[in-house]
Amino acid sequence: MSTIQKGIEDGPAMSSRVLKTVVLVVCCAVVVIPFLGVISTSIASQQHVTNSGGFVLWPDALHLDAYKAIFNGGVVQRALLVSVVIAVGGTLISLAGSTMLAYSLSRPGSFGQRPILMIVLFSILFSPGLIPNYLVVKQFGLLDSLFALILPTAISGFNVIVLRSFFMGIPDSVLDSARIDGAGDFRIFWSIVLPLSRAVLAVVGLFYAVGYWNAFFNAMLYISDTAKWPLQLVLRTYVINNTELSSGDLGGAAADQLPPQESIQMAILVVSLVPILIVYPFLQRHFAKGMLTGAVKG
Amino acid sequence: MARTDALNSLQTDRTTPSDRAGATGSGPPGTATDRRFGRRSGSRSGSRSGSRSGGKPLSWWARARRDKVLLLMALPGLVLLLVFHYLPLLGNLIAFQEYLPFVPFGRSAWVGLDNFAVIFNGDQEFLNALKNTLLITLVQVIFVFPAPIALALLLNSLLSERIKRVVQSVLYLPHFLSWVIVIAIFQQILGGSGLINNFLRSHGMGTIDFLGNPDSFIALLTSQVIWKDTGWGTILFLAALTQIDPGLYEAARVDGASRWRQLWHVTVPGIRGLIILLLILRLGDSLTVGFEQIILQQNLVGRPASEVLDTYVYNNGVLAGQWGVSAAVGLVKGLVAVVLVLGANKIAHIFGEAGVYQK
Amino acid sequence: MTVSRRTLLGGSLAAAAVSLTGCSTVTRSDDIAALNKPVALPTYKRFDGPKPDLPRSHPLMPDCFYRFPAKPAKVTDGAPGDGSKITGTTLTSNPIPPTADRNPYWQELNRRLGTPLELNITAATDYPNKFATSVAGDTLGDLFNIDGGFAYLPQFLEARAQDLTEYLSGDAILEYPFLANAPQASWRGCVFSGGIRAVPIQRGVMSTNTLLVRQDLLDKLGVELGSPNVDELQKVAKAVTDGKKNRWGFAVPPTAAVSAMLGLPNGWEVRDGKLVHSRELPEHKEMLAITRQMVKDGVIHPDGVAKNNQKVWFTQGSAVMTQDTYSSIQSFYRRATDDSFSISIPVPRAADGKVGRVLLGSPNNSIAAIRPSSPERTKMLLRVLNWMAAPFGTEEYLFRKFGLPGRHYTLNGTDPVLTKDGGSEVCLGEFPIQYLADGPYPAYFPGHPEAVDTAYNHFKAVLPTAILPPTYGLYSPTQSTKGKILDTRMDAITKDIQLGRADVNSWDDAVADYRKSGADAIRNEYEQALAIQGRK
Repeated sequence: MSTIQKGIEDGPAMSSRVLKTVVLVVCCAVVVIPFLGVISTSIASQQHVTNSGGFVLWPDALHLDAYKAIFNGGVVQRALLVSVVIAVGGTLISLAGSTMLAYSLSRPGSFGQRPILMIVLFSILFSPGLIPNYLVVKQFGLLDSLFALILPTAISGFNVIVLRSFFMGIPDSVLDSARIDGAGDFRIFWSIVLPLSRAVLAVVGLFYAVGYWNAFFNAMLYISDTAKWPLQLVLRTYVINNTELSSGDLGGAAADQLPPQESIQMAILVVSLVPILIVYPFLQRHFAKGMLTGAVKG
Repeated sequence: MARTDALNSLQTDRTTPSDRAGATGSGPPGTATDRRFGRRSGSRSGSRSGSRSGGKPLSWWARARRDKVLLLMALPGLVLLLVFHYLPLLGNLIAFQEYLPFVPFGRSAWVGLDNFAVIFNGDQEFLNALKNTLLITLVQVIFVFPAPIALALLLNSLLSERIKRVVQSVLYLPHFLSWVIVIAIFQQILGGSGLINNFLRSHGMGTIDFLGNPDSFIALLTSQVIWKDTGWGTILFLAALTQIDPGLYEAARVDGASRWRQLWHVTVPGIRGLIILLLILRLGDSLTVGFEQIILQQNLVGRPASEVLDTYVYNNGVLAGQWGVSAAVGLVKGLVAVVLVLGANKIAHIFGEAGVYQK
Repeated sequence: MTVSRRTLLGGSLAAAAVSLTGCSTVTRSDDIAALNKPVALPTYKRFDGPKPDLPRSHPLMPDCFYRFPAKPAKVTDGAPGDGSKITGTTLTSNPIPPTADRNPYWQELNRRLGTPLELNITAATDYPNKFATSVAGDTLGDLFNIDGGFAYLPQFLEARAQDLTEYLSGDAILEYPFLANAPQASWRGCVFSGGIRAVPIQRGVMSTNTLLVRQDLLDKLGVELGSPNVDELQKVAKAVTDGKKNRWGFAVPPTAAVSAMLGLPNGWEVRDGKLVHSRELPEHKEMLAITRQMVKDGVIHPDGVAKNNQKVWFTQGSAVMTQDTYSSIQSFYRRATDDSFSISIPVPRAADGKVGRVLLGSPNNSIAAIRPSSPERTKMLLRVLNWMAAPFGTEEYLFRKFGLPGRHYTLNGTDPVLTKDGGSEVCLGEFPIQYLADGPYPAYFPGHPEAVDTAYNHFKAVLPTAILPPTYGLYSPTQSTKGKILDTRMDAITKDIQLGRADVNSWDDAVADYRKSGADAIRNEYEQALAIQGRK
């Protein structure tokens, strides 16, 4: 049975193996080389960045000034905490709301399914404007509350529909056998559907988490108290285009305060990627194959 | 039986040709297990009449009571959508107003369809923008859409789980770059003073205008999108691939199917439902093509080649804080998207697929 | 707000008109005369503060300082605030400062203001969105910087900003000596619908675009530029260009210099009793042809028309000349990695040898307004703004921009240098109150007195013939709704022509279309506005 762990597996021919390897190596190189540039630029010296026109492929030396600049002043650390709270809390809220909604839409013929499904679907196709959004958030007293960064984007119609389509793929026989044992809808959802859907939960959870992690626009609109700003919004203020009169033109002395703009920009990118790279391997475990096999056959 | 059920995963009615006799149309396999839960006997893609086990149709109220747990479960998500999406959507009424943010909401002057003039005045620039938009959508559906599927299949066929994980992680990275940075990177490499042209210049060869050539603009856009989002795009397909019952491959091998045949008859059908679902949703987005990506590069190629609907509206309405105009355009695009999605879904039904929702 | 007003925008506006809470209705947008009604501008009284190191030879001459004055004097006494909380909405181009509870600078600022200041700070690029939503949600606060691109600005200000006329018009402003230190050109941008409805964030001439030259590179290459006309400029550009060495004449097309050499107007200008726009003149086409030829000759950086990275190219030497503002000189010296780095600012010359007409930038960076308040509170808020406008060289200025000695800055000679804490807590010397009110913008490039001399000599040469934007402070409804769209369109065609994608003669069609789709209406409105102000 161990061979079942692999999908397609018939001692692939040498030629196809070589081909696959080549394709993947090329794909990775195309991605890795620019990323090398991103990291190199973030640690290169001012002179090197300037001389190479703003983008360094291989750094001359290790300068951590850009990172120091970002983490200077304590604003970033606090923002990091805010971001983690929003990403974790938000993802939990989103997953709870979305999976329950998707599950209720995945049971054929349930009451009100079609109108609810249309509500979900149309939410993808129409987007409300900036100002109405703001007025609603204000009306509900959420200005300057972290909930303003979670609730408005908590349910993504796209994710609900994806979840629903996966839930519908769970064999009826599995659910029905539970039903015969007297389990109610919620029990079935909680103890059968969710455990069987780990792969898609990991994916959708990642979608939500990345969404929360990268969001800055709502925070910019809804949060005045800069102590509650998430990381992305704080970092954003480091990479604003220098207009002619900004950034120490007057307080000229501030001159040496900031490393090259390009380095900071790239350092910010690296910083905001790290948490995602840390979390990702944990999620990836859930992409293991053949989830359904045991459950159904058993 | 169980095996076929697993295959049903993405609510496709047709799965492997060999294995799914009798699984078309009205009822999926497995209906035999149905007892008092009449719900199960209704076809997946069938009616939602409420007649469950062949008895007389249940009343509206009875069905609501029967499904009350499901309704309660739907409630939190539904309320969030209604409050934070549909309530502000009412604000799109400003599409018919000369909206002034400093006038209390709903009290701005009504101007009928004036704000829609940008869209319906039929001027040459608009038609050109529409043409570019549709062309770019078409090219991207042909080249961008299949890319993550192919990559997912390739990754899925890898023997080593470790290599697969590493490759996946690497390929996800570009997704997290903002367009500003992606374009900066492309310019560093392809620009007039970029790596390639500098090389050509220093060797006394003529330079190539990669970025400013209107004829190759769509190719440029497409390659940027492929670079940025292909890796990330595999994630859903890889999840779907895990849902395929390994037993099917086993069975196919027993039948002596080659690896290509396995791919064609087991793997592809297993993710077809998802492909169609995503394609339909992408279709709803037909009129939206990378606003940020294009506006950042519009200077290089000039507007005739690069103007799309979103940039047209931005350049002709939104720049002056014309909130009504942007709402009007949002409404029209939404309506077009609804028509396209409903239409595509209908076509999916005709071909026996479930699409986004059932009939 | 007792003046009886007309309703808004065209015929259907009764609804909007009655709905504006409180006072009254706002001016219709087709009533050009009412929108541009003049008012007695505040009296200009130069504050008798620190003496510039170089004598002012012209009213527009910025104060030129080699170094920060030693022993800056305190010029106010007592705190301007009354202890009640002041809220505000403003922007920054720098990393955000820590909040007041963790920011000793902010705490000291509150102490000196005598009132707690709560600011809603937004990144500059996001400000238009933030501003619009804050207007809709009525959350701007007591003091707010105004997004200049906001639609229906006069009507907005009528409805949501305090009319400051009685407090600032004429000699009334003398109550606020640092506000009175702003020239009338700046105040012109604060007048809407016959009232002074904002205070200026002055920039004087420092925001003017000019041709900047790497003098050290010219010297190295043995090329002489001097004070060039069009031909000489082109010759020098060709002489210094060497593609194989990654070196080009210009980072971007030098439109400012060429415009000055050809004597083009600064946007709209009255010629023969009629307003014309620069774009309508044959000289403008000539400028297009010249810059197009420059691109063709390869003397402009290959990415120069399309991509804005000129600061980097100029600093690293892959462009010998660039176009940027006078104030940017400071940032170039800061970025420079080469000790010999030195900038010169050539005086453009017309073909007949006369000094070219330099087109000056807007006198203000932006404007800021006050929420409608009681007379006492309005006066208090004006005192606070006045405090924020204390000029360069005073003790108040030193604190405002550099914070507390020791913690936020140290002295290099007499020039303050921000410390690490200063950088973050004082927001790199640009704490966002500088977008609520600020003093005159000096020519001060710390550590580079020679650059101050360069700028000073340049100003002395060009200011007598330089022109301010003639329509600054006039309001044209068409300009405010369609102006940006038209500008974008014309800029796109300009680029097409410069890059050789379109023929120079296609400019004529573009101009015809430009006039038809808005420019003629704008002209008409500006002419009415000039007439009502008696400036025509």
